[in-house]
Amino acid sequence: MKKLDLLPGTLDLMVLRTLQTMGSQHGYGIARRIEQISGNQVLLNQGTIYAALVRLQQQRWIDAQWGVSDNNRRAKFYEITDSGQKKLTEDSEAWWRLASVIEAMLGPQESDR
Amino acid sequence: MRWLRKLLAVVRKQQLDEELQEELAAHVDMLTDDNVAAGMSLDEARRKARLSVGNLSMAHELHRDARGLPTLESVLQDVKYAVRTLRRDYGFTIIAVSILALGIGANATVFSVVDALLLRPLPFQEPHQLVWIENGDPNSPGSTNPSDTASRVAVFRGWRDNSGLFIDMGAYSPFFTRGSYALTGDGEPELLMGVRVTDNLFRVLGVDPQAGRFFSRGETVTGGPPVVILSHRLWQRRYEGDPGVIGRTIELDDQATTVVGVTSAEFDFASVFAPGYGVDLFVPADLDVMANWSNTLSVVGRLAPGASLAAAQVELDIINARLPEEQPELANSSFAAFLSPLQTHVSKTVRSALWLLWGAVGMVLLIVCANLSNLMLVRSVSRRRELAVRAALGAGKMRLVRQLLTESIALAALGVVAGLGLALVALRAIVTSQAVVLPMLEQIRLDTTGVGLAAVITLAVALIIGTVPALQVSRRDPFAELSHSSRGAVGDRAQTWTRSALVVAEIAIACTLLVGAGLLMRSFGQILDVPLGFEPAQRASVKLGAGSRYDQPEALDQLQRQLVASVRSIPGIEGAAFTDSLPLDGNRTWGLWRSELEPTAENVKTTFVRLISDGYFHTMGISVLTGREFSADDGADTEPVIIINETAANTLWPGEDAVGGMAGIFDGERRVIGVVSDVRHNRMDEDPGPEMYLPLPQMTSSNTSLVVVASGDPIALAGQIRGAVQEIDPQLPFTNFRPIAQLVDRAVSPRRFFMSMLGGFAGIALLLASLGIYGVISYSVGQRRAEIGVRLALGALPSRVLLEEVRRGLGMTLAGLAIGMVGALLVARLMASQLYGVGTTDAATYGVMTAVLLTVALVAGFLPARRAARTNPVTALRDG
Repeated sequence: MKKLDLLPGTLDLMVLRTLQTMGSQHGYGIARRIEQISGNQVLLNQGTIYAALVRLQQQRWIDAQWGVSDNNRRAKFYEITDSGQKKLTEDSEAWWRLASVIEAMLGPQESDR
Repeated sequence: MRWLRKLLAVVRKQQLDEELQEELAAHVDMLTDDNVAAGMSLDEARRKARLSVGNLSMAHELHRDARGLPTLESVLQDVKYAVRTLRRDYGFTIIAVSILALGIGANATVFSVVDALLLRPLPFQEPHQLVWIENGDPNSPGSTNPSDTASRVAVFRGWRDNSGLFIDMGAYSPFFTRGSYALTGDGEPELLMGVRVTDNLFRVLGVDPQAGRFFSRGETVTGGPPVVILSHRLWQRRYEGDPGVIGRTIELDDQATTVVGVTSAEFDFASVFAPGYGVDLFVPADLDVMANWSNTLSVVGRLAPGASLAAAQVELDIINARLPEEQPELANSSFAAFLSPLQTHVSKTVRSALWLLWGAVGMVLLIVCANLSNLMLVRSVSRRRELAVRAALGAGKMRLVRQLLTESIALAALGVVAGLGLALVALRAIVTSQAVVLPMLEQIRLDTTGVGLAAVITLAVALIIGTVPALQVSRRDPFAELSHSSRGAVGDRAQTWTRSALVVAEIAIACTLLVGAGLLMRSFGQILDVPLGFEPAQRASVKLGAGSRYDQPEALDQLQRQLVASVRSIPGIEGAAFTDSLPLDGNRTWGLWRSELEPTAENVKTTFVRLISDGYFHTMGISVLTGREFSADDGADTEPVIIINETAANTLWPGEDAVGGMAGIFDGERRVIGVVSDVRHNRMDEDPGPEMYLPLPQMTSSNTSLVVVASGDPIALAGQIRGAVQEIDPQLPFTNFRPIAQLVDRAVSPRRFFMSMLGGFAGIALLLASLGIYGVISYSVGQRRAEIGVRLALGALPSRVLLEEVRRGLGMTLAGLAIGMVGALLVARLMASQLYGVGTTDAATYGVMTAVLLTVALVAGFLPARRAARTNPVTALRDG
């Protein structure tokens, strides 16, 4: 099956959610986590994650700090901020509402028919 | 905030890029580690890791776009590119920026001067309400002689007390340039220039004192306490701005005088009312005393809000008609009131010259536009290939436009900066130059509106002309453009035509300016050649006013005789004498008539007066035509005598010998003992009127200047003269010993200023126009190099090629000349009032300027033409 292209804005949401559940994490860890959760269904060019990270940072939704990883490598660690938590809550709500609308519009899945 | 962070990210680009680099490297490493842990070989693990991270430069690009301001960055890129292009074509850049700088600098300079003198309101409160009220002598309309323009005290009082449309009227005595006050006591004795003012003059003008107060009513009457107001300049110079000077007593003309106030720095009386003179003091005008003299007051009135100038004029006319009945002393005198806005009066002498200058500088701007457009046009053609390449590589039309715009703006920015620098230097030179005598000089500031305007106009024109042809490229098929060989790029016919037309326009404008400047130069030459009636060379003067210690006529006469004798004995001094007023340095007139006739308005002639000591004519180099000059024997007890000039003799004794005749002045009759040559007393460009000389011993004055003539440079003897003077009285101020030539310089200064400005503009215009010719011909020669090569190879004579190219230049020049001459005739008519001794169609000026223009144009065309004629056919054909 072809991998899914990410909808605009969804990567930000994924990153925020990852940081919320995992706490402080570096870019590589975030990328791994997203791939794991999605079961490798999304097409994630891992390099693009850093553009999302800097964008979120400039919005003050996440914070960054240099630190040392488990296997002793210097890496930048990201953490969700309070306003990031708020943003995540808002965006998740919006996403669920949108998803339910889309679901209602499209009806039951083909396989159920 | 977010914008700030983004902007910061743009600035910190390098650091952020490095951080990302490190982050991505760590990412790849960690992924590699995990892959190895999953059982891959190290090489395989790394390859896989790189693959999942993706294109690193793409990651960088995305990161930059996300964190920064992509638009700004592409603009910066354009700027960088523009700067690189301009640096690469530095020849073009230097020329274009110089042209822009000249145009903008010249415009900014003139606009700043115009702004200060004509546009900006006077530095007074509600200046539009201020009115200059001038007396007028029906016999000499337009006279600038204060004896004609000033009003009598009785008339002033009549206006002030009866007018309902004026809130108030103040006045000052315009004869202050002749008088002086000796400041003695502590420090070096000094002669100061003081103006008599009415108590309310400052209130009428609406200025505030810097410190202290202005005069009160009780101080401006006979017997009032002696008080003085210092000018800000004197206060700074002599008292170092000490506020404690208020209330202090200073010795003025040997009289203890209390300082009551200091004028503010912004209020420069002289620059408004008497440009070229410095005013140190203000003293109360005692109107009761001055009422006994004739025209003594220059009047400024403040209109009531809403009152119009026309209504005020009518009101004063009505008052004037009534005054002789109410005031018997005015019964036999003629007077009038001519009202004009004060601002108009102040700039009156320079107004038309300034408009002229503004027009001229506008023409320079036109030439600059034409020249720059031509340059841009040439450049756009040579850049077609470059633009075609960029279009072929995928640059959008907007992107190309933006790039060209950026380039032009960068060019303009450089031009504006350089032009501003030029303007600042020029303005500084104008303001600080002692030789420039203009009203409101101190008010001149660099005016940025003018700069902006000039920059925008120039740029807009250059942009349209320069960018449009370049953009035609993007409309065409870029590949077709690229496949064109350079040989084909002759430029379309329309463009060649445009370029030639621009050059013709440049020549026409240059021609007009040249003729205008030429006429002014000729006028200036004529003025300098005017027979002054005296010899400025080797002569110098110093004001030597004696204080009230010498208020007895005998004492004063004694002092003056002593001083003259002592100075004459200095080796190298060939003559010395006293006069109460020097030529071209402030005037007054008295009535003069033949004493056997009734002193009616018809018989009395307005005559310049000089009170002089014996030896004055020899000292000043004024020739005695008939009769004798005053001798040391003409004293208070001998027969009253008078010497008149040629004009007075011919007016009062036409066809007769004036010597021996009896002349009447206000204090009785005097025998005419001599006739001397005419002297330009008032203005260089005004014919001398009747003049009379009276011997100082018979009509004493302490407001005198000592004049000396030396065999060499008199200034070198200043120390000895000073010694001789102060040996007789150490309290006599001896300041400002200056050559008589300075008086002449000051008198011609405004004219010299306008002439050199216009001359400079004409020079710039000529330079730019010749650059235009040079550019067009050398460009066309360069483009047709191959064609010329073929013709030469086929046997055409180089001289023929040369001739052809020169003829092209000549054609443009002649066309420009023809148009320019028509323009010059029109402009010359406009400037008729600025000319002196030269007709508006002066053949010599037109001829010389045509020759100058033709010569320069021929040279400008000849240089590239010669290059064409020397083309080596072989290389030309090979290079194609």
